Amino acid sequence: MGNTQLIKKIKKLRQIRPPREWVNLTKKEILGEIDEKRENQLVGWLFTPIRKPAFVVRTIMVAVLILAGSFFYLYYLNSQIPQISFSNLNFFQNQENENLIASLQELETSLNKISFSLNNLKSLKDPKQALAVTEVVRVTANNGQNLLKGMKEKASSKKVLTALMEVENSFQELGETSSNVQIEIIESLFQDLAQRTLTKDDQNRLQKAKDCYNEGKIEQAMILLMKIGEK
Amino acid sequence: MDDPKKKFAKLYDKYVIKLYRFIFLKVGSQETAEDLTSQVFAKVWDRFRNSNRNSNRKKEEIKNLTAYLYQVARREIADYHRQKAKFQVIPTHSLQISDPASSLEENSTLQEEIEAVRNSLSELTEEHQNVIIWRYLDGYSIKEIAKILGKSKGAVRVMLHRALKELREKVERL
Repeated sequence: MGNTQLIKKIKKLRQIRPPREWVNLTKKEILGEIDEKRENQLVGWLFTPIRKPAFVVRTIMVAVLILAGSFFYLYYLNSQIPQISFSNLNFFQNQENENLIASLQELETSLNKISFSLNNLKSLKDPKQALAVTEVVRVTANNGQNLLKGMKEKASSKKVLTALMEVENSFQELGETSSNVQIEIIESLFQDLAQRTLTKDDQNRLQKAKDCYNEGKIEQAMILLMKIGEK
Repeated sequence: MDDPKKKFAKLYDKYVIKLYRFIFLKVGSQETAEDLTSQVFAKVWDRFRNSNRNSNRKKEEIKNLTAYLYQVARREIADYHRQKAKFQVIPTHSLQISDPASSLEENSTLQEEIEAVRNSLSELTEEHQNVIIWRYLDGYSIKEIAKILGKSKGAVRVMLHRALKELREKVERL
């Protein structure tokens, strides 16, 4: 079972919710009567039309561009990386939500494919290169997810909001997958390097990398691992 | 907006579902989850109200509110389990999930699936359960989880990776 599948299963637990009557009753028991207008205001605010379409275009472009940067690494691996079309982003000027949704779905599919192909990195001959790729994808996915959070607030309709949420989920899954692949590569590198004959300097680097990793300093551990074997 | 009651009402709205779910997943009973969740909010409200009388403390608590809420919740859950061990409390197992758009059969399958994942999750260590709930159910970022736990982001990533691996093994065994 892949991570994506497992995470989907976990997310089913989101359906566990307290009964609405209990939520309201408990609130009243703790706080007494309070003004409830705010809840409706929040829902209204979530679905207010986009006031600055240019902002949305920019954020999508930035997200796609950042991702495109990380895709270069993946091309090296001859993975199936789909092309993302920029030309169909002009529809924003016409505020055609249907086109926006179609583009978001396309982006979502691309992200899912990248996420899927990331597992190929584990079989790459050069684990250091694989580590670098996972880091770029992880950071990119996190940035994309943050951008999506902001965009959701400007969604012009429920459908657009749903599509944005799907893309956000895909970014999250991409980030999780790259993070997990990265950790798997690091752990297998530790095992591999422990069986090799290393110079004294490299032995020190390996020990330091292990210490950093155990303290959760993954980036530092990666840098040290990448230096092993370098002249 | 300076009214502490209104401020707390906002916090209640923001956290009630997350906290209820967090507690439910640990105790497995709707009734107990409701009791413990209301106890947590009542305790936090007491503290919140008192700290509002002292502006210096207020600032500190709002900053760490998420961590504080979960800290109180974890304490309540631990107390419940201690009591349960002493007096053999039998929880009324009542997870009622139904999607009005689905058929009876679909709802029952969904309920079974949810129960299976919940059971597998409950077999993990407390720390592993927590990171999975916070990350995938509550949607907290790695940074936010790191703040709740007082650990580094990297440590949380490693913990999350191990938790997922362990959960996968449990789910696949079913």
